[in-house]
Amino acid sequence: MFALFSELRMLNAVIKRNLIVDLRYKFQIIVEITWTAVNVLVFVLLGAAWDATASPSGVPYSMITFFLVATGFYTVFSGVMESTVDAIIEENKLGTMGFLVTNSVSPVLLIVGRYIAATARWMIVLFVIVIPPLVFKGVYPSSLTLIVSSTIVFIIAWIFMMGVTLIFTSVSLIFKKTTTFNKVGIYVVRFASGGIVPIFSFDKSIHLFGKPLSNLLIWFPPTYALESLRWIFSVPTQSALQNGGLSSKDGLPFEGFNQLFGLNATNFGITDPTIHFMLIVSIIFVLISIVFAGMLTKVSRKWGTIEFY
Amino acid sequence: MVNYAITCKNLSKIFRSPGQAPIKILTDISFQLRKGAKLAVTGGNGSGKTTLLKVLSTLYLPDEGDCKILDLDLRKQTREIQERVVFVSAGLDFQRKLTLEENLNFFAKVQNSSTEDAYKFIQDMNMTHIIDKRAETFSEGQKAITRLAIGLMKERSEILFLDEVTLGLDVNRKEEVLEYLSNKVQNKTLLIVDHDSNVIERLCSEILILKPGGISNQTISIKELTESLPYSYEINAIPKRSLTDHELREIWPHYIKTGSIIKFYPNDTNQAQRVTNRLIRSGLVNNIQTRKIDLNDLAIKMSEPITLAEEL
Repeated sequence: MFALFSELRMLNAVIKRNLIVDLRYKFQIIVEITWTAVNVLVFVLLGAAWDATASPSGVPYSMITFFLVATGFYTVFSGVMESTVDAIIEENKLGTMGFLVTNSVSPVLLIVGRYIAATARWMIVLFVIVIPPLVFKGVYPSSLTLIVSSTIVFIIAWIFMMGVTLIFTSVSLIFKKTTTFNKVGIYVVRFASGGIVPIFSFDKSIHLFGKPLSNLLIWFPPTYALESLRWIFSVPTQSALQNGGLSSKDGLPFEGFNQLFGLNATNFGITDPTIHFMLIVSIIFVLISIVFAGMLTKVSRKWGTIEFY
Repeated sequence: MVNYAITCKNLSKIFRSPGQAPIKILTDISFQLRKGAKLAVTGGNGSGKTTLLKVLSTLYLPDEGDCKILDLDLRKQTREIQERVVFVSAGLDFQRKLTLEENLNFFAKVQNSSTEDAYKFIQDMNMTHIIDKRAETFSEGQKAITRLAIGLMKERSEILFLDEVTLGLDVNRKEEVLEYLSNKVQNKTLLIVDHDSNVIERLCSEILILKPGGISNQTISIKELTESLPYSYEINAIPKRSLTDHELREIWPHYIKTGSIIKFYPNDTNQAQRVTNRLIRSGLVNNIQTRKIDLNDLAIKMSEPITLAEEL
């Protein structure tokens, strides 16, 4: 119990320090906001071009909504991951790593602290830059229940992404100059979660264990989190989410979520077994990534690379 | 029964890096240090002084050997050791966008300590006027003081590992710091690495001399070492021409040639005066510089023994 309190105390200190520092680099924040605005514009244009030539079938959203929600989702997660993957390198450059590690502040704690602080910063960017165009286009949850559902799936994705970030970041304990490795990793995650191309578009060509690809990605929660966010933001009512049949906010007919993805989702709320499954997968993945980062920490202490950058 | 703060037996450390051949930094380090002892780790560049401090303070894992810190196993009881030691190095820097106060608060939380001792130290060092200034404006001396303030926060620490912490301090400030430290650390075990022999003599009573490759097996009392010296001065002379051994012995029998400089080693003030007079009278040299041998010379010469023209 004492150890847990001790960890929380140190985590709190790391988060607070990172938050203060982040908010004082004003030029950086301006660049991030501008970059996000450019991204929103580019993806709206891409979605409009796509809509003009092809329309997705079975889903309630247009391609503009597809990209807008993904931009919002990855504004937070790309931003947070890119800020966090340098956490170890930054501590090493600063010379604080040795002092912190010899005071029981583990690299895992430093990474998680950075991840949480970066989330707070990027949520501000999300609400300032991405949410207004979504609201302007009428793409937002139609009821309080759907707002709760979107929050839950977002949190699940956030937990899973913490695991991904822990793995990417802790690699820099052993290997140096990992910037490109991290960029590639973030891009792969973005692609795999359907941020760039709808994952169900591969269903006709990719079947595994007798099931289409999109039906298996329940094991990779960010994909379903992003997909269900698009649905939650587009459907007129919660019941339509499960059953389909109505016209969506984008004026499209659509099937039920479960029909398309072979799931048994109920309401995307706290009682939904699909949510429980994704939460368990995410938590187990984070625990595995903590063990992985702990192992790399031990190796780096053994090899003497823990302070190098 | 003697209470030891540190007991090391055949401690070795090898650095590995992906794609690189392993490098052995420390080899068979064995020594014991009593609780409350003040030890300086000395040796030439690359002898592993800083690495030894980093291993003992739990930053690096040793590759071979047994080591106990405050009767705790260095490999298995890392966290318990970390609760009771502090390691501060000259490489410790601060978040530039945080003020001195914010930096102190952060390190206090990390160490689960109060900032009281740190503020007292900052006050004694006349730095309270920069308490709300960001670290990006600090001079090297102010950073050195801040590092020490952070290191002094942890009241429950029993061993202080200080690596070149006086680097960047001006002469007066260094004097104040040494005065403060010598009082503050009276009841703690101290291990320092410092290239300034004055710092070592002021703070420490024992030294551990690392030979190239990081080999050592005993600590030595500084007092005994000083008393056992065969010479206490070094006189450097630049000859006008190449001198024969016969000519050099005529001046003083104990000398070595290093490049174009001849170094003579008298063992007291009278002898030093005599050598200087002979050099001046001989007219064979252009430049003469006399200096007292200090602890750093001793450490380096003990780790890399010199051979004088005639044994003392």
